[in-house]
Amino acid sequence: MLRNMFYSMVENRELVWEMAIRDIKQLNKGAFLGMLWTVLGPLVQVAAYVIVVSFVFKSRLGDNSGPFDYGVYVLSGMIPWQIMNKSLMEAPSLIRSRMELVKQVIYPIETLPITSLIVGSIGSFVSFLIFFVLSAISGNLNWSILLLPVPFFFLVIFLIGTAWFFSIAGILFKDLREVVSVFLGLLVYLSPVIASETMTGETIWKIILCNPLAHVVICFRDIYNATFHPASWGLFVGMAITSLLLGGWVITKTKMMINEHI
Amino acid sequence: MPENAIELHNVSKRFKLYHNSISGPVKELLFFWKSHNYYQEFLAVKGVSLTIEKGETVGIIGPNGAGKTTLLKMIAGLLAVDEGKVIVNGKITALLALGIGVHPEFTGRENIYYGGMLIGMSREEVLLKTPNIIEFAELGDFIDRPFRTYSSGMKARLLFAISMSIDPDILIVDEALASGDTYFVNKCSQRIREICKSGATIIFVSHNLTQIEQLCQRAFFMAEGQMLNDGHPSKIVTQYHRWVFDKDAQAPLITEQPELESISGTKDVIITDIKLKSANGRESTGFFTGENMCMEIYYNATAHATNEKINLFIGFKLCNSGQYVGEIQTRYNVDSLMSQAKQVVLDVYQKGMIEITFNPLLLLNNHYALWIIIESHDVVRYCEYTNVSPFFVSRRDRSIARGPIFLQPAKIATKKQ
Repeated sequence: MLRNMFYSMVENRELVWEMAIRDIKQLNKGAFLGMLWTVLGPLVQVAAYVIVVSFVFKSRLGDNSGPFDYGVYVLSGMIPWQIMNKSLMEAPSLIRSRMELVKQVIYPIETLPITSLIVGSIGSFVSFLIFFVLSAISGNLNWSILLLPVPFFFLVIFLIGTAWFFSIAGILFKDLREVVSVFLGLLVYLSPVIASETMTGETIWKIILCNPLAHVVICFRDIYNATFHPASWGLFVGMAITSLLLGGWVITKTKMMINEHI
Repeated sequence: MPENAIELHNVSKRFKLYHNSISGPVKELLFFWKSHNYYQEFLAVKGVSLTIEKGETVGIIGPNGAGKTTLLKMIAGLLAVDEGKVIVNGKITALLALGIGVHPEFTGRENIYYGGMLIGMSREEVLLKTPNIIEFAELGDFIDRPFRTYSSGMKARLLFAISMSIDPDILIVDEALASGDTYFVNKCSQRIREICKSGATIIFVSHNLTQIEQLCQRAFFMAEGQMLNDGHPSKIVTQYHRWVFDKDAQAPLITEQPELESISGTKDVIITDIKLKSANGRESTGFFTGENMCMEIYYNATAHATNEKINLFIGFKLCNSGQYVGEIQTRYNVDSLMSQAKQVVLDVYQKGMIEITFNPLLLLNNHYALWIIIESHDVVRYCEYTNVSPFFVSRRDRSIARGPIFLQPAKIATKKQ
């Protein structure tokens, strides 16, 4: 099952890539700043969080850290969060927005999550470069950052699995997109993206840990800071594999039935 | 031994029509032991078997809703097969619709690039073919402007050109050639022939029967989900006409008659009713070639026109294409017994009926509509009607018949010289 999916991805890599570029072009046709928005968006958001948290609420990450450190902290969490956010928001409409296509040609729908990941990650990639430079300036860069492909790999399989599942579910439930977007909008406040354990205190931190997506952010921060949270890693990897298996099963089972339902 | 490109063995397709399109499929999964409560089944294709050899060009004809597109989608692998088996040898390209993945903001060139990839070409293939596509579409400098700025003819040409550029093993074409101007349709037919010559297998679905007869070596006739027959295209086309005729004959009459409203003239004479009667005197809309048809035109005339003499003109047009086929003129009528032309003079009454008898009716398989003009003897037009009283004609025997008119020479002989 998963092997077939994998082969399909490799076989159609050209199509996946071209479709991603097509989507990007489509997004930016006629836009003045174009691609820049995908980078500007998260940066403005980071700036807003820094201003609100550091200056309005006057909380600090640690005893002798300033708003700059907090900014880098938020940015580091924002990067995986943005990738998840984009991918999960898009997932329910992946197939439905390509209805005409799927009906008329044999399109490898199992590759759609990758196309959407490529499109969604470009902004995050630039954010990462900015983060990299900023941490280098502040001298907080660790060698462990070389391990970044590890959480990224698990993030990708987690998102592919969920996107498979959501894209199929989204055909039947047209409101799934709205549900997902409301949830993600709320979950950002219940995540370690803008909060840290020292800032929130133990009780709220425990609530935050109930958010499964929080562990993804924690794992990414482990890589930047050369720390290790075994429980979070276990959960993250478990989630990734489960979602890949579940999503893979759903999409193989339903692939041929989609045409009758859209 | 030629290998088969496509084999279908007893293929059936059932569609589930859910009572509720959202909760239906979910309930079906959750309550699988009583799943049949949530939908009605509809058999779109019933036990179809067929084989198509490599390099053959075949057509599938049949009325709307016969299951043609469903069958094609199953062959193309777009729909799951519920029963039976589909065996396909070779790479299939299905042109089920035009303009897949076309974005209005993209230039023609970009649309060629992505459109080509979406119908299954590789990047190199598309880039290689782009000049040909541009030339085929005859777009010139417009190719680098956004698609939305194109005229509808240019859009159609570009979309056709993209679709026609592929070199597949097996090509499935569903009504894709139905539109476009005559020049371009011919160009497309030419291209299809080229694809045929390259050794590809082509399956056509079209309502354009002439196209099927011209392009295909074999035709299939489908109706109500079943494959009724296959054979030489003209034989199948005739059978299709007969089928349509029988179907129409079963229905009592074409109940929806176009309204009788004169579009020009003084309206001193107006037609109130037109009746077409078959040999047995029964009012009908379907007739057989070579048998009697009687046309009765009922009219009312004003005092002004009464006691005048009138000329009657009746033109016959094909319903589907509007092509003009022939006419009757009372000013110049050929008397078949005397073999000479003479003028028929018609008197006008305040309320009257003009009766025209065809014995035999020499029109062939097709749908016809009438164009009627009544004018006074000194050519003052009283009334004109277009596309009224539609009817259709078919042959009773199974002989092959083409074209709209049955020519019946008085004498056929060969002489030694």
